[in-house]
Amino acid sequence: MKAKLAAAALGLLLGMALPATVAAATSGRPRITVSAETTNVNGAPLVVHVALTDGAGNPIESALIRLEAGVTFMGKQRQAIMDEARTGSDGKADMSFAPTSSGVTTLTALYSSDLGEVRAQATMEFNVVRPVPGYQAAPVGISAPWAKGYMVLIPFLAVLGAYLFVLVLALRIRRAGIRMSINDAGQELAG
Amino acid sequence: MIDLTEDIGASQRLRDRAEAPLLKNAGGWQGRALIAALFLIVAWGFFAWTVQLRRGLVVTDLSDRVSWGLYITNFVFFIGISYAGTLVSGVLRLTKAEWRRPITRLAELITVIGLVIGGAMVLVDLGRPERALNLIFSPQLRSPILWDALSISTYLAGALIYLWLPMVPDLALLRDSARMGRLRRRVSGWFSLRWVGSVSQRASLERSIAILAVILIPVAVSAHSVVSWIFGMTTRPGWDSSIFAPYFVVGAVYSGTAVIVLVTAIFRWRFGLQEFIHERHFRKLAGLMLVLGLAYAYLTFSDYLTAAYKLQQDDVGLLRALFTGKYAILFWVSVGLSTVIPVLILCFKYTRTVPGIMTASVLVTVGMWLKRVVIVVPSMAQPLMPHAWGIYWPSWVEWSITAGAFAAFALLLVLASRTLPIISVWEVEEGWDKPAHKPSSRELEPSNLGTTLVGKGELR
Repeated sequence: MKAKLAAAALGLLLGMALPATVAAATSGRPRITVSAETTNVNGAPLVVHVALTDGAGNPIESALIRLEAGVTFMGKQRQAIMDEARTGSDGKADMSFAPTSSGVTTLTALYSSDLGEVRAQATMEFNVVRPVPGYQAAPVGISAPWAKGYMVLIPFLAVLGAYLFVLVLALRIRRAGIRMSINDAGQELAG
Repeated sequence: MIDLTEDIGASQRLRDRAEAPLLKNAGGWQGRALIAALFLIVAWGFFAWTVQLRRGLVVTDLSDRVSWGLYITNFVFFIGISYAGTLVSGVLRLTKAEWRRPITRLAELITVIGLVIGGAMVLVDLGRPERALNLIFSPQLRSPILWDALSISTYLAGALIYLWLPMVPDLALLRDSARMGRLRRRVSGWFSLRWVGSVSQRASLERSIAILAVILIPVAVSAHSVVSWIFGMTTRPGWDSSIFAPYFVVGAVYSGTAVIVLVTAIFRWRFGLQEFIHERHFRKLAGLMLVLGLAYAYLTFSDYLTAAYKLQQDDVGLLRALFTGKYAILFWVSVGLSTVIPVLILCFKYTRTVPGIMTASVLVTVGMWLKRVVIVVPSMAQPLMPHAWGIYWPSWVEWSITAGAFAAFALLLVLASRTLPIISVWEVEEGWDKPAHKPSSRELEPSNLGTTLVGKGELR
């Protein structure tokens, strides 16, 4: 029993001593830097570069970095996590974020302990502009596959055919006139 | 009741009146001066067009931002008034409205001339008119521009036949008239189809005209619908509307009727046709205008209300510019002139007189032209990307060509009146044999008898 208590006390002491060892290895406050393009088009993904170093300037590996941005949700402004990544051996990590509203947006990169304590953070502002549409041809025609040229040509030709029919009818007027002239001439001859 | 149907004198007077403008020196020096003045304006407009052809569209104020301006406004306006013939001559013929008879010929002339001038405006707007040949050599049947070319050319062909066919008996009169020159008698003879007025000829003529009227009404509706679709098939704010086709058709009939009133009044006064075109005809046309004006006001209200209620992002800027912004004066003046004031004039019995109807017609004509400017220009000037509004004020070239177009319209009407009988003699005479209109108490007033009831058949 005594041996078990002694082992537990040793374990506790070791457990308290280990973080102190890490803290000693990373002496001073960790430092985080964040960089990205300062202007971005609304909706387009933005790559955010983060670098994490300890107080001595040495890169911190495998640290979890969280990227947060201010968003409006249900009419209220709040911070939302946009992306997470772990730093590489060079202490750097890339994250991406696609802004959904125009205007100035603040990004925050956070390095927290496993218990949630924020050890380092950095913010940057960038401007999100409305997308500039590329040139789009004016919609000058029906693009549906069923829209065929003959749908225009058929009524056009039908109307022209109807005109022709009317002109043929009108020619009857002339034929009747010729017939009457012949009849008149015949009557004159008979008279 | 007095029966004047046996009054041979009335028939002779009608024929004399119809032939009088066709005689040599008929117009006198005033007529020649008018033709010369109109010709000068047309020549100036033509000169302006040659400047545009030489130097390109840079001489206009059109740009990549506002690429349609006065030319397209004029195109829509002239195609619109061309509806006159179809309505008065076609629709009223099919509905057997007897009062149409003395004014059908003028309406048919307005149709043909309006279509010719309107079509010419498109060529002017092209900048390089030879590019119109692309419609023939590389047509794109899905394009509303091609639909427009097809429908307007089809309409023009039908309108020409429709002008000619009812004129056949009158051309026969000219052919047989000793007062006409030899050339005119010969040309009239070619086109009069050996008309002698027999029963079978009359039956064939009536049948041809009736069939053509039935065909021409949908063709005219389609022509004006297609003109609207050139705008409506785009997603541009102000044009992206499903009611544009009926809106344009009603607007076309409305402005066409106003132009008929104006032209009829001028010709009635100039050629002394008071005996055959009475105040009653103007009041009938005024009634028609009133109904059309109210329909147009309703469609205008409906069009803007639906856009203003939804307030889609691009519509906001346009509506603000129209209602309170840089186009507000143009917009409200066009609404006032085209609908509010004319409707008020035509509503009341005391203002529905010939001068009142004339005033309303002038306002409608001017107002509807302005309305077409309101339709074309602000929607073009409205930026589709975050950018400043386009600026457009027509250059002297555009104003000159516009003046030339209006002068050409008047000149062609005057020349047509010197070439063709402007009143349909046979139709008016035929109307005397029909059950006639019952004179109103107003017409039976002694003061009106002199001008309104001396026409043959009016007292039947």
